[in-house]
Amino acid sequence: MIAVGFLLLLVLIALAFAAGGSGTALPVGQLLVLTALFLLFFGAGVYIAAVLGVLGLIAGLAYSNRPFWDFVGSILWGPSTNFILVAVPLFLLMGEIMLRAGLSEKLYRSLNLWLNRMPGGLLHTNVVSCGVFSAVAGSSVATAATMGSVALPYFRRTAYDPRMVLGSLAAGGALGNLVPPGITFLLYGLITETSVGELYLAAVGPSLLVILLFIGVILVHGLRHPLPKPASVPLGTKLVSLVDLIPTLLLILVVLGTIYAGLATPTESAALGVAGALVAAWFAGRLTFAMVHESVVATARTTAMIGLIIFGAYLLNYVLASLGFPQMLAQAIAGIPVPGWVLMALIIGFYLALGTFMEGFSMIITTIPVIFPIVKQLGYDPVWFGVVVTMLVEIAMISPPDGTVLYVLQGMRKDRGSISDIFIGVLPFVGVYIIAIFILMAAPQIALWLPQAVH
Amino acid sequence: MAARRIAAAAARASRWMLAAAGWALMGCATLIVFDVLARNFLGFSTKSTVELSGYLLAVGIAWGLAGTFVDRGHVRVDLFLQRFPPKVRGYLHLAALLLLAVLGGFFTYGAWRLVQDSVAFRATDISVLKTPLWIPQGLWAAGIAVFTLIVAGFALHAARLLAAGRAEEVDQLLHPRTYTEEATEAIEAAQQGTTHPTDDGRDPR
Repeated sequence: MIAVGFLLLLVLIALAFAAGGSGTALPVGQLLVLTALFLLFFGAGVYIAAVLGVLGLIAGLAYSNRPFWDFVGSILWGPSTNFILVAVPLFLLMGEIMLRAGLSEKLYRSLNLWLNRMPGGLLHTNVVSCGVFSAVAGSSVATAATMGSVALPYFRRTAYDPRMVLGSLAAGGALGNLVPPGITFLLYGLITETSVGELYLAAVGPSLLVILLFIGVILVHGLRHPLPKPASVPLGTKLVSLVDLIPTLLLILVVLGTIYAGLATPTESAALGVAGALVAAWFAGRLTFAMVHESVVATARTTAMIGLIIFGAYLLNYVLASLGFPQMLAQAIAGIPVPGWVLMALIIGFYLALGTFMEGFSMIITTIPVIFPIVKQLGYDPVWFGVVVTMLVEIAMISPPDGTVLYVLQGMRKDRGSISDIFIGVLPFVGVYIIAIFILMAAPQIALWLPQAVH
Repeated sequence: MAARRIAAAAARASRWMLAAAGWALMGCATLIVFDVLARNFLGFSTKSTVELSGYLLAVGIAWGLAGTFVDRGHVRVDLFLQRFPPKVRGYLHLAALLLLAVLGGFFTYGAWRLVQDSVAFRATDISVLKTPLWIPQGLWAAGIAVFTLIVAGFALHAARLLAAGRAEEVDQLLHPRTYTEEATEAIEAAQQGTTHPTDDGRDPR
């Protein structure tokens, strides 16, 4: 509720400034009506796609004299057949297959041999194995579900603090979209016409930063609450265990290697990833028709969910753009006499608040068309902002009380503890995730050096 | 009782279409993999993969809409919804359905107009196949039309239940999927992919 109040306040401030702060002829009355309708529908639990689409219809019928209904078919057909958007269901499908393929078990065991003698022990394995798995899966829920099901049994009958165990797994899940290849980047790239390949390059630095910060949190916890170290394992055994990482590493090479080497577009590498995941499942002896069927149906469901929101958003954007609203709003807001970073901080606050109750993908599709022109007007790099928005979506997925990832982990527990364990356990990780965003604001090069170095 | 039979048939049809959409997406992956391999190792390209995979995506989205709706998979913000008494909630569900149906009707109209234009102008794509565009567009429009019909049917059903004072049933039919429900599905999927070597209680380390 605090978040909702904050959001309302932000919208009001933005509108007030837009109305009074500049000389542009901003249609304040029309904007107010549309905003009020949006909030009404949104709060009444109308389907997000219908909120956007019906708002588009109303704006088009009331304020525009162009026969926009003649174009509806082409407005929707465009994204429906977009080759970049094809990558979204393919990465989803890859994740669904990986979720059921049973590869994660060996990955976890092998990484554990290398990490379990650090202060914090097994907790590091949670974060690092999630990070590695994220490089083959583009979704946070899939990452948390896969690694959680493997990791939790390891902690039974140990002295580890359950809050940290669950918190570190949730945090690891929140790497799923940030570590390339992520689906959020595809949606952002589609809407803003930013190169997905560059976004994937730019995400490398921030991913490492977030993983390091997570490890830092665990180190501090481990030093404060020391546990006996497990017996050291001979180096030979450790090296042999690396063999178990090979299937995962091969898959990473197929998916990310082909994108980074410029051999394949993200869509092609996603298709190769689907094939690779099927081969991996076959090696693990889990490839059955029923398993593949379940994976494709789950993929179709998420694809339709995203698709319908894209339909609504494209209709609304078409009408608003034909009225020139986003550009006018961007200019008006950029004309406000405060430094750009203050506005950027407000935008970040807006996403953090929205993320406490809105699903990540719909958040991107709904807000980016309006926010992006403002960000561009303020002079921020589109690639940099893509990374920041993805991090904000990830934070949304693990911020209590409404993060899907948190409920996945709660459902996997065998000890019947309260969900507040997870809420409390994840907070330090949410905290450092937010700090990572501020580090990225201060030092954008963390994201931008790699795309620049490649060019 | 006819209404119930229609509802059951609609649910079955929409789930069947959802599965078809899923396999269309798998077909899309297969097609692209084939093209990449053929281009790199066999020295030829289908030269129509971009177009064909686009059509498969269009079907993958449109044919999945109805099934996802029946499975309550389309996103709504339920932050305030849960705070209202069931009766009010029933009416809010109806309002949400009506708006979705209006939008669906509009989409269907737009998609149908596009198909008509493609037929009238004998439009084809620019790939080597010269696919007549009305074929993929027609399949796509059909998916959107079925979705709209099913949403409208649900709206009608909800209105009748509300008129009969059975608001709770509307809520049961339509309440947004909770996080717990979504989580349960992900967990079931993950656990079929895992054996638990430590379930016998020995220390995994």
